[in-house]
Amino acid sequence: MIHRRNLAACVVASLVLAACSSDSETAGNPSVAPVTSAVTDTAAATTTETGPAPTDTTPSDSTVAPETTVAEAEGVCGLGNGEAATGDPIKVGAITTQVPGVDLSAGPAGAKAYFDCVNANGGINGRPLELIVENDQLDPGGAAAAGKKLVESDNVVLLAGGLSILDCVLNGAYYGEQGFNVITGGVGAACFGLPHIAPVNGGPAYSGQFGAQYVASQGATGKIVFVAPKVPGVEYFSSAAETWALANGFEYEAIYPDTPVQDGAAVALDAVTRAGEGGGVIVSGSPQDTATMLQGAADQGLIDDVYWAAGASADDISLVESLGPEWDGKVGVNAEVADVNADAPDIALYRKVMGEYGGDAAVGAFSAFGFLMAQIAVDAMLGIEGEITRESANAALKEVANYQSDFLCKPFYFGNGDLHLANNSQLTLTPDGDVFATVTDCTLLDPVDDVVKAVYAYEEANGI
Amino acid sequence: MPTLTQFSSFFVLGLAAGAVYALSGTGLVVLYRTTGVLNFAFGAIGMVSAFVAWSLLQTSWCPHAMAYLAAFGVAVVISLIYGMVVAPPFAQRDSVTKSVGTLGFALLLVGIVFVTWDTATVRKLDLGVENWKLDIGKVRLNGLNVISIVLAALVVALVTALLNRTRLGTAMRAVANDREVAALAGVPVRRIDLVAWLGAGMICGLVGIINAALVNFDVNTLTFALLVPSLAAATIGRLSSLWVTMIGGFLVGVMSRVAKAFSGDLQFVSDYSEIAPFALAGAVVLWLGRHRTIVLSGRAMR
Repeated sequence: MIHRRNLAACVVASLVLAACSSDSETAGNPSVAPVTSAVTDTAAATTTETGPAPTDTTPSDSTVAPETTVAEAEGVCGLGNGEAATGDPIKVGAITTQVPGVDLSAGPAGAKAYFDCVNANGGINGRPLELIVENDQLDPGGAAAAGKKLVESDNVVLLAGGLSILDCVLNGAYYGEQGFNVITGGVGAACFGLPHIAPVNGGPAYSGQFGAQYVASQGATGKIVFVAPKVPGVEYFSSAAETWALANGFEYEAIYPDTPVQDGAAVALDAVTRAGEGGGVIVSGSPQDTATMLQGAADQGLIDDVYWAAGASADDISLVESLGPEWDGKVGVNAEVADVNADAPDIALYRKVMGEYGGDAAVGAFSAFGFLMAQIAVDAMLGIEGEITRESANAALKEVANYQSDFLCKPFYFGNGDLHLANNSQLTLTPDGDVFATVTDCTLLDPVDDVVKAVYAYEEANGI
Repeated sequence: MPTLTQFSSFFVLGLAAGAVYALSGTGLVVLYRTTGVLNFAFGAIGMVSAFVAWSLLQTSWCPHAMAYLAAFGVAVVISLIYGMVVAPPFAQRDSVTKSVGTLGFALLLVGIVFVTWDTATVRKLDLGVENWKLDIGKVRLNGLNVISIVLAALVVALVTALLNRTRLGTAMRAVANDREVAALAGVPVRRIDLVAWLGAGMICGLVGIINAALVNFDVNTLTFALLVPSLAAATIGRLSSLWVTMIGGFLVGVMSRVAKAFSGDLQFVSDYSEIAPFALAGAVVLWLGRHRTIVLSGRAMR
């Protein structure tokens, strides 16, 4: 009896400990810094903002003057009138991929955070937005079913805010047939190769090319090795870096360890061994996998053996916090959207909205994609005169042009091109303590790839 | 062919990974021998303890030692809860049913972690020994590698001594040989089962914390990726010999890592490095069973 009582006490104590620790994690996590003020109360919000110290990483063509403070320039959500939207919701659909080892759910989480903020500030002329998120679970059948459900059962008006490995390739053509113009976070090739899908980001393939351009600019010679954990379509992730590397006289090799990466040190050692002294290694994958490989490289003393670059998923505050100071200035992290810690109005609003409405979603590139997609979709819908229907909303999205954001080096456009890669100029960041610093300002993708060449030709022809 | 330096670097990484497989295999074998349960929740219990340790380390009030001790304690408690609450109803069932029960428990723990923690956040468990580094040429050995290897040998030696030189060990071996006979001889079988679950929980806690620091702090890696090589190690030890299990763990670790060093014409060796645990365990099972007689429909076949 006494034994049982002792055991019970032990169980209770441990559970209490675990519960307490969970609370503490949320409270102490700077990625979800508490914001006590209303989003529309910009002056008050700034005085209570407790997020990480901003760094001087605003893109060079930012629309905000350097001396402008966040308090003065911070944006608002939608109408920004502080009145809760009511009535029949406008349904927006998004598909994401969330399975152990591959978690892109921060994308729609960022979109939902912005929609929630818009709903608290007047909605779309009084009507609230409802984001319906489906998880494809990395299953082709599941992805196709999710797309049909959103379009035919949920009757969504728009498709915006998704970030999925399978959605574009499996549902892209179907969305076109159903009259949708989709704004998405691009992952696979199909997201960039259809006339009715416009990604706000550059995707992992062009993130890889930026990585190759970066390591070469830092002095890498000989061979470039691209490392990405295996997921469907991973060969595409490597393709743009390969095209660029071979066109610029480098040897090239891609290695695809299992997802999730099981031994970061072994994978890093493998990559460095293949690249050879003075070569370049580009690390792609989820933030956790990228961190594991970089930490493994540090543990093995491999940091200075090669030049390092990392894909845009590494633009994540929790990742930079997990890396030690030994990585400061040693890895170029591609930023498909600007540094999420930057001192710029759109980005300050993003951090604040994520703090208030984002729940546990990480502050990083993925949630920033979602936030930006939601901003573009909301602004497009607010411009509609008359009823918001599937036809009017998709027509409005198609008309989006010259959309400026502090997240982007170049304005976003949807346009009438057959291919879409509006986000073709990006920053490179590097860890600097617990935050990122800009190491390379906005840089254009070199036009070696057919898609990039076609997009540049379209932009030139249309004066973009 | 890899150079000697490349080979040595991968060999050291293989030893460290092998130490974790050896530890896990030991935990599996101890529990299986005593209770007949092949514990598929082994990695999941360790994974929960790693998350608890990480959360406590984020607080300002919890010293590192206490965080790891509490995490270790959580693993022990979870294992004991299973041993006290879930395992008894399965006690009279066959070994497969008992083991599948632990698989369900593993999935439950994974679900709890997904609900409780934001798994998209990047985590790293820093045990404070990683910064101790010894460079031998281009081969680096860090404190965590050394501790893992030493700990594996130490745990196997301690458990072997416990089983062979103490009354408790004798009772555990008696239960392992025949539960009913042991019960008739006055051995408190239920209590011995609980001791086995407690021991398994302690090893789970150790493995979970070391593994999270050594490999990838990821739910899937800590729960399931650990299971395959650990089961391979236990299979090599025929689910009975702790020392052979330990050697099996090291062999699996070294084979899977050294295989990665091959490139060029031998690239296929690297490409198939992940099958090392299966290949090794399969080869051992076939070798050990080479003289066995298989009876099919009443006809003996060799």
